[in-house]
Amino acid sequence: MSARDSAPKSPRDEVFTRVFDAHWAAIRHHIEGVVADDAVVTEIVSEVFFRAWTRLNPRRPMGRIWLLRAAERAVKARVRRPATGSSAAAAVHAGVGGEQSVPAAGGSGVVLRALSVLPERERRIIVLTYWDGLTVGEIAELSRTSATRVRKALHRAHEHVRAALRSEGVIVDD
Amino acid sequence: MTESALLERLIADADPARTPLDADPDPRALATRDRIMRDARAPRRRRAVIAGWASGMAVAAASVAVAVAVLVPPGVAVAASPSPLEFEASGTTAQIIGDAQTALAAYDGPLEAERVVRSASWSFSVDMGTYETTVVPQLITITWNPDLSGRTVAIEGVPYDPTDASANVGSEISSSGEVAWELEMEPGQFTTPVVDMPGSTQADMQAVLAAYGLPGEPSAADVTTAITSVLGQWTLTNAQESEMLGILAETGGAEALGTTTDRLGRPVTALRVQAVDGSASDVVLLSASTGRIVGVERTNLVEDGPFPSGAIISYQLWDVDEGVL
Repeated sequence: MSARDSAPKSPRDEVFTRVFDAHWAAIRHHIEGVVADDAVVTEIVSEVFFRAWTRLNPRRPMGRIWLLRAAERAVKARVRRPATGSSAAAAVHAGVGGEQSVPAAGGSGVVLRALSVLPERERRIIVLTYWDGLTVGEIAELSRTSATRVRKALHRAHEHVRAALRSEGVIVDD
Repeated sequence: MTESALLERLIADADPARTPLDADPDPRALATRDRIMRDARAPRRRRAVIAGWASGMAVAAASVAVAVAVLVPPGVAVAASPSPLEFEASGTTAQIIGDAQTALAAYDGPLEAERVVRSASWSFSVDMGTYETTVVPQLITITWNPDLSGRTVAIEGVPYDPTDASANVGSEISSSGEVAWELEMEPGQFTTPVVDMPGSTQADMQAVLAAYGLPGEPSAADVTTAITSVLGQWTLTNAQESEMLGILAETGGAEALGTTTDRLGRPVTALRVQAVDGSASDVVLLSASTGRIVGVERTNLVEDGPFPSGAIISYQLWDVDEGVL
C-alpha cells in the first residue's frame, strides 16, 4: 500500500472511492459492448467518473443507473463528434457491432450482425438486458419509461433478432 | 433448452465486452480514480465547477446594448459570410428534443436562473477605404443585477477574411485575449422585461417568453426568437430550458437537421426553424452532452442587400466555457 493510499481521505473521497470501486467494472463492461478500442473505452470511463466526481453528493451518491446514463451520453457524444481526425468516433460501433465490431468468433459474429440491424431502441434494451444484466425495472428507470413499455420493446426485439438470425441461417424457433 | 432460453444464451454469449461485470478495478483504473480525486480537487476546482454546468453554463448574447448582429453599411457588397455548418442526419425532431430533455434531466445545471451570460457572436468589419471585410468574432460577458445595473465586456476573437477558404472552413472562434470594449451600466440602465425569473413550469416559461415578445399562437420562429432574447439576458436552469424546448416542440415547426460541431468545437444536435415569411431560417443548436440550448444561427433565404440567399447573417452561441474567454 502506498503512502497515498494510507493517507486519510475526506468523506467526499471516501464516497467517491466506494462509487468507483462498486461500479467501475459495470461501466467499463457497458462501454466495451459498444466501443472496440480499449484506449477509447478507458477515456470514456474516465470521463464518466470525472463527471460523477463533479456531481457527487456524498449524502446521496449516484448509483449504477446514473453512471450508465452518463456513459450512454458520453458514448453518444463521441459518435456524434465529426471525424476530426479522431479515431474515437471511428472506433465506436454503430450501436452494437456493425462493420467495425469486435472480431467475434463463430456464432457471436452472426448474433452481432443480427443485433446491428435492430432499431436503436430495441438494440439498446437487448444490450442492457443480456450484456449489462439490468432488470426490466432498471432499464425503465434508466430510460425514464414504464416497465410495461420496456417489456413490450424487449419482446419485439426478440422477434426481430429471431428473424435476423433466421436470415443468417440460424434457426432458434423451430 | 427452450427456444427463448436458447436465444437469450446466444445473445449473452455474443457480448463483446472484455471486462467481467464483477471485476475489481485493475491497477490502471485505481490510478485513474486517484487522479480524478487529486486533479479535480484543489487546483482545478474552479474549472470543475464551470465544467459542471458550463459545458453547460449558459450564457448569452446580448443585452440591448450588445446585440451584435451584422453591421454593414448600405451598398457595401459583402464577399462572404461564415460557412454554413454541415449536418449529419440523425433522428427526428421529436427524438432530438427528447434526447435533449433527457440529458437536461440527467445533468445538473445552474441551481437557479442567473443574471450572467457568456456568449460568442460575430460581426463584419468593413474597411471603408477598400471595402475589404473581415469576420470578427466576439466573446461577450454580461452581468447584471436586480437594480438593473450591470457590466458588459466584449473580447475580440481572432478575425479572419471571409474569402479565405481555409480560414473559413471551420469558421471557429478563438479569443485574441484583447478587450474590444467594456460597458458599465448604472442602476436602472439595463433594460429587461423580466427582472426576477419565475419558477420552471411550462406556464412560467410561457409567461417569460411572452414578456420577451412571444405572440399568442406563436410559430416556431416566434418561439426561437423569444428564446434567443431570453438567453441573451439569462442563464436558465436545465428545467427551464427543457420547458422552452417543449414549447418549441409544440409548435410543430421545427425540422431535424442532425448532428454537427458548432463554431466553438462542441458536438451539437440541430433543428431548423423557418420564418413564416420565408426570408430567413434559424438553426437551433442543442448540446449533445447536456441538452442545453447552446446557439442559434440565422441564414438568409432570399437575397437581401449585400447578403445572398444562403448566407449566414448572424450567430449567437451560449454556454461558452470561461476558458474560451
